Amino acid sequence: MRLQHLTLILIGIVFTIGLLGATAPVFAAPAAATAAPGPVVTAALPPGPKAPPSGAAIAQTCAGCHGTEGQLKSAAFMPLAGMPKAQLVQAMHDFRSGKRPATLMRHVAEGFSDAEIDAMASYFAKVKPE
Amino acid sequence: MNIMHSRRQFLLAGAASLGLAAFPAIVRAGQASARIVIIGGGVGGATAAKYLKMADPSLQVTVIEKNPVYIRPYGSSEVLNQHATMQALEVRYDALQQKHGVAFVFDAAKSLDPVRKTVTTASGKVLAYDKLIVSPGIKLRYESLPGYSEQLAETQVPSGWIAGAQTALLAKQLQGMRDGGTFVLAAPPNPYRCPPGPYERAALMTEWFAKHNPRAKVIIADPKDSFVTDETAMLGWNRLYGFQPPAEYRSKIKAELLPASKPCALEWIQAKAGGTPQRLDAKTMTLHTAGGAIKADVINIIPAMVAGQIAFDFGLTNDSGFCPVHRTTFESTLHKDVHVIGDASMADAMPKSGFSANTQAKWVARVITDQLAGRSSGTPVWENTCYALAGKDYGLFVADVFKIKDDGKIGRVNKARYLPFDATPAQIRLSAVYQQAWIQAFTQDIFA
Repeated sequence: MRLQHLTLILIGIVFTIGLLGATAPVFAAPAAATAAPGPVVTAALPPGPKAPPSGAAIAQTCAGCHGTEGQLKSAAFMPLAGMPKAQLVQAMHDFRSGKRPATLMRHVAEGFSDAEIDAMASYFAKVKPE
Repeated sequence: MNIMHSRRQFLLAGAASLGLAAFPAIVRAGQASARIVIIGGGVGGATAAKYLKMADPSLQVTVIEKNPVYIRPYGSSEVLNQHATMQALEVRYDALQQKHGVAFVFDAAKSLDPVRKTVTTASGKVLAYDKLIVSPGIKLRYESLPGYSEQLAETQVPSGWIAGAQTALLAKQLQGMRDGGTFVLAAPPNPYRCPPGPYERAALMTEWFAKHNPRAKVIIADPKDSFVTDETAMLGWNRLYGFQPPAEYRSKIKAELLPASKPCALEWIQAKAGGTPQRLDAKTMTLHTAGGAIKADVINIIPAMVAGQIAFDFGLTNDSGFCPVHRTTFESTLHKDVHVIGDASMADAMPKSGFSANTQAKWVARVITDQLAGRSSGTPVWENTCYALAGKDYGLFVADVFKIKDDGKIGRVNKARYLPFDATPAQIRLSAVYQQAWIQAFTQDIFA
């Protein structure tokens, strides 16, 4: 009996660790990963046909121009690592509405919902700039 | 044996006995780390290797690649107009090996045993894998144009669509072309690698000739009636070279077109105007098209293409010559635990571009690490950005975000995708600045 209880508790712990691992930025400093729970609600939604992609998965698609994990020093693009969440959310909304002039960022921003923009901004805000 | 299964079994057994499962580090130490073998060290393969090691440094990641130095194809047309050197195209695998701990086997992959899960190389080395990623790029079908061959491509009529010696040969021919000569570029049929690339190449040479060989002519012979970025490219050509777009494009282009002042040095012969290449006569340097014969001084043929040869040798292709995959995982529909990414894969609306290969590779790295850890990867998302040039200071692009649509296929979710017609001169110039910056940033994301 006791063994069964212990098993359930342990499985619960493993599951929790798994969820944390899935939503935390891979390269954030350990402190950053545990700080500010923030609205990672979107990224933690159970996957399904209607679930948005995780913030981490979206962030990876930005890296082809904005650098791996948003770390970029020498190119003409904005580095995204550590950008305050509100700033990135505002920028993406303004690109999407056309309020902010852009070359191709309007087209890219059109591809993402409010929840997805929120998730990617949460992700980058937690990455420690190098 | 499947790592995922063994891990699940271990979790259950461990939880019941010692409770070790609560400590993932100990779990990992208790089993051999998974072996990921990657075929091809191009954009797809190298990105996958780096992102796998970033996600889980304990994975054993091995890339099998023929060439010890990578010659990047993206931006390689800039060798032709002397904007870049051949050396500038070279990318080394040092950071992947030393910083990220990726193992490299510089050898040709030869055969796959999908049951025993091994890959054998040309020199007889056998590598066992838990997951295999195949990113072989394209194979050019030189023989698809009668009169053309790989041997001709290497000696007289280069293709240069896989960057390397043919790129250098074409650069030499173009830069040494006789005064007032004709350069013919035979554009490829769909689907092909780097959709705006052939047109960028023709435009960059038109610009270069205007300065160095002002009476020279550039002719694009096309088996298609349209191409990616076409309406924005033609507006740029009009502004830069006095190009006059065909009638159907005049209504599509929502901007003022400049009238013809003199014969334009750049000519685009679309399929319906007889542009389809039909036969090459290398002896007389004549490209025969549906509309007639074009005698030229330099001919560049970009032939039809299919998945890289390895995809055929591994039994991963279907009748189309490309590799069918499950959309959510890019796992081959023909062999289990084998993922095909990049130009070789059939990815619906996603173009065969370096950027597509890069985001596919990252997604597959995520899928594999999540599978090994018993997690779901959630909903996929991919992007593509192709920068291109109408002239060295006139940038163009196509930008796409892709998701799996209701029909189960990969589709684009943004609306507009090209440079807007009302882009300001500053935005046009910035697009060219970004094109150059992108080459640097993209190379770093893959290889550094």
